[in-house]
Amino acid sequence: MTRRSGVWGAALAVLTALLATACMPTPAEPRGDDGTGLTISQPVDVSTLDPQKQGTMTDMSVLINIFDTLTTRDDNGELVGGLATEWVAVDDLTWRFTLREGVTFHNGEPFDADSVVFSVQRILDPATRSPIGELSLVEEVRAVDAHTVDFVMKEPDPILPEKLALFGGVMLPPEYARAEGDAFASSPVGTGPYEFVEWQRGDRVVLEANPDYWGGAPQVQRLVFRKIPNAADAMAAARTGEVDIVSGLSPDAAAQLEGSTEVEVVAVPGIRTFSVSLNAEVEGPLADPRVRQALNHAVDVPALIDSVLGGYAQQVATLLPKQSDAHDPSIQPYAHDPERARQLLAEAGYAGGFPIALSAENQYATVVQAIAGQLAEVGVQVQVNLMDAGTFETRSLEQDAGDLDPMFFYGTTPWTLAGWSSFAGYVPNSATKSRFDNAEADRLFQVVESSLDPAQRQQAAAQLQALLKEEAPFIFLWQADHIYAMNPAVDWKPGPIGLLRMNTATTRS
Amino acid sequence: MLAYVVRRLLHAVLVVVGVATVVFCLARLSGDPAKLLLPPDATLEQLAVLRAQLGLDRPVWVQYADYMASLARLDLGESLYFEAPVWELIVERLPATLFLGGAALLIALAVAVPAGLLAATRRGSFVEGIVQIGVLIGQSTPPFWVGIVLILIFSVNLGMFPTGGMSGYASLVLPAVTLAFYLMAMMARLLRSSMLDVLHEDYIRSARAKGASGVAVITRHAMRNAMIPTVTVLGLEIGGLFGGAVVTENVFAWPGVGSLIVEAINNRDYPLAQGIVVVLAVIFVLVNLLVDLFYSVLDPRVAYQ
Repeated sequence: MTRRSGVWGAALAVLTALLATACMPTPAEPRGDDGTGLTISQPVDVSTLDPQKQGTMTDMSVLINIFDTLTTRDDNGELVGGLATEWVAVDDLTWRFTLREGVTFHNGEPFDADSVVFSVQRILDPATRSPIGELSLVEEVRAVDAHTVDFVMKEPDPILPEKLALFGGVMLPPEYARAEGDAFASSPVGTGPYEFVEWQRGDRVVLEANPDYWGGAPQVQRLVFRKIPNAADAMAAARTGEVDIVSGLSPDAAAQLEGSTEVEVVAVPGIRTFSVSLNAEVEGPLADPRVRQALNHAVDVPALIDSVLGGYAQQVATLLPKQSDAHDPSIQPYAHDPERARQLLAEAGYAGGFPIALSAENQYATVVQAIAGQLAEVGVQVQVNLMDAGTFETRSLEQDAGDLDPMFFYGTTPWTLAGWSSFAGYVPNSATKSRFDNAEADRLFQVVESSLDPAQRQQAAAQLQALLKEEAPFIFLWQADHIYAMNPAVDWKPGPIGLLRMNTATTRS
Repeated sequence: MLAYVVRRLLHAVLVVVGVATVVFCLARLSGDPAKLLLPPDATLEQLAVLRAQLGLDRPVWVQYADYMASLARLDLGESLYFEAPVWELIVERLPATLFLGGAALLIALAVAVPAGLLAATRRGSFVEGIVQIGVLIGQSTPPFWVGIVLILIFSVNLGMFPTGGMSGYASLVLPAVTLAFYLMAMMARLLRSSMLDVLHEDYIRSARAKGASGVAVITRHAMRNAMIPTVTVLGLEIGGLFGGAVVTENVFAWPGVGSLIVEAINNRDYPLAQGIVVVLAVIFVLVNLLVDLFYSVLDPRVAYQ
């Protein structure tokens, strides 16, 4: 009796474990490469496939293949037509867009002015809870005829066409979206070069080529976007050929792959610009512009880029990356000059240096500590406070980023490539995270934001960059490269914004 | 017996309520999810509007009462980040973790039981030495290192298994072995030491004196008694399997609940993180209840009222 029950008990346990194992869910589609497909990995999962409810690079990289925008940037970074062919400012508050004809959505619905009106209204509708902020100045959008649309603004917005190259300008099919409701987020339909096939949460998104794409059918038939959170695993997958393109690599990870024959490391200048924000508004050493200039002289940016970032970045003079429309190439970055730094500190009354705290995200630990080391050489003792990204974000979204230290290290991406994007979050006194109070800067920013005369905006932006260099409310650092590990048989030119737009990719097989 | 089970189930409910409360408090200490749902250049007004929409501006005890009430209705709420019901997200990903854990358990047992037995019965031999070293390595090696090394050897260099993802039984092997590593070492060590204790008992000597064969002594008389401490620890280690799954799922891009909870925490997605912890707590409590009931099968002297 006892022996049998013992055996039965053990058998039961083993059987349960076996059953649990046998019920493994397997994906319906065969995986990855069958010669006509590309597998691309990203470190983070897709959160939604509704282009108007997301704001992350990961989501946008997938969705940019399914959806088109009214305007777009070409390979040289020039603003060109997408689903719109022409645009003109009819008056100070109205932009008129002429739409491309003969375009249909993947489900057959025609693309016309109604689609534009529907899509824009959906973003502006509070019920959508869209995190996309680019259309905040749009008062109303009207169809003039089947292929012409007017955007009426609340205030003059000279860069509305640039903003519509981003996800504010994504076009959705009205009938289908209304019918699907919330389910649209898991079965999207757009006008783009790829159609949605399936999404296995936490694992992969599969797309198939749209043979009727208005921009020409893509050569690669199938795209599989996989989530691989661990960089070592992603690189291993690239080496075995399970993944063709690994995106989001850090310089450290890329260094491990240098010299590999199985995988090519491709680095492209990006637009994400890094700086250290200095709190110029509170009493203390940072309130004196000479101190701030000294900090800029103390940091050796080219050395940092070479040693800590493996060369995968480029120095910037102020806040604008070189690809920005408003970038002024005549402004030179601060020279590394510790002598001058000590001199300026002495003039300001800090000959012996001073202690100060700096906040940064954990992932930037190495580079921030290198910066602290360079500042220590001129007597500035920096206490580095590292925290995880979520905590950093949370603390920065306070008035004057008040919950962060007097110095904080951050990166920002000027999505529209217009000068406004680089200044808006951090320069004008009214911006939440701005710790800089300068009437001339505010005035120049106003011109950049609202003047409809491109020459006037350009001049104001140039003057603002010169002012920023002089006043130095930031330690100006660099713009980071986008680093990819690629299968050598893949021919794909990544863009500066860093989105995984694949319609021009080809495979040499 | 029935009364015992009912009592234990009531205790289980209390445990789950306690866990839910602790998670609720911890989540709210960690930061504001509304800030993470907005773009970095959002204004403070936009933040206030979003917090009101998400119900985060209500007093904490109101949010708590609301949460407990919805738990009682078995409603886990909606994920802030994915905008989908928490229950659906968990159900989608839980099977992957459960069966990774199940496979790891099987592998751990398949290795640990023979290893522990051999080490106990062949004292002082080469085999015992191997097992002792294996146990030491298994208990001190971190799973993320084991995982990466296995990938490098068996995926990249030998091409025997995929590097990650969930796509058939071949992709299960490396993550399951990684997850099983610590467990098999610990169980082998535990089984060996409890077996050694049992083999010194009088009844074992009597059995041998009566002429029972070596194998019969072990399987009929010794095993069941030696298994008792091992099974106890096994129940508790189920929690360790879930914790280990978090790291293993990260290393192998395994789409289970472990990687889901990491995402939820990074996104400060309170409802999702809370929901996963509550579900895992329920599983843990039920498993331990089954383990305790299994005792009465292993050891007839144990009876529950």
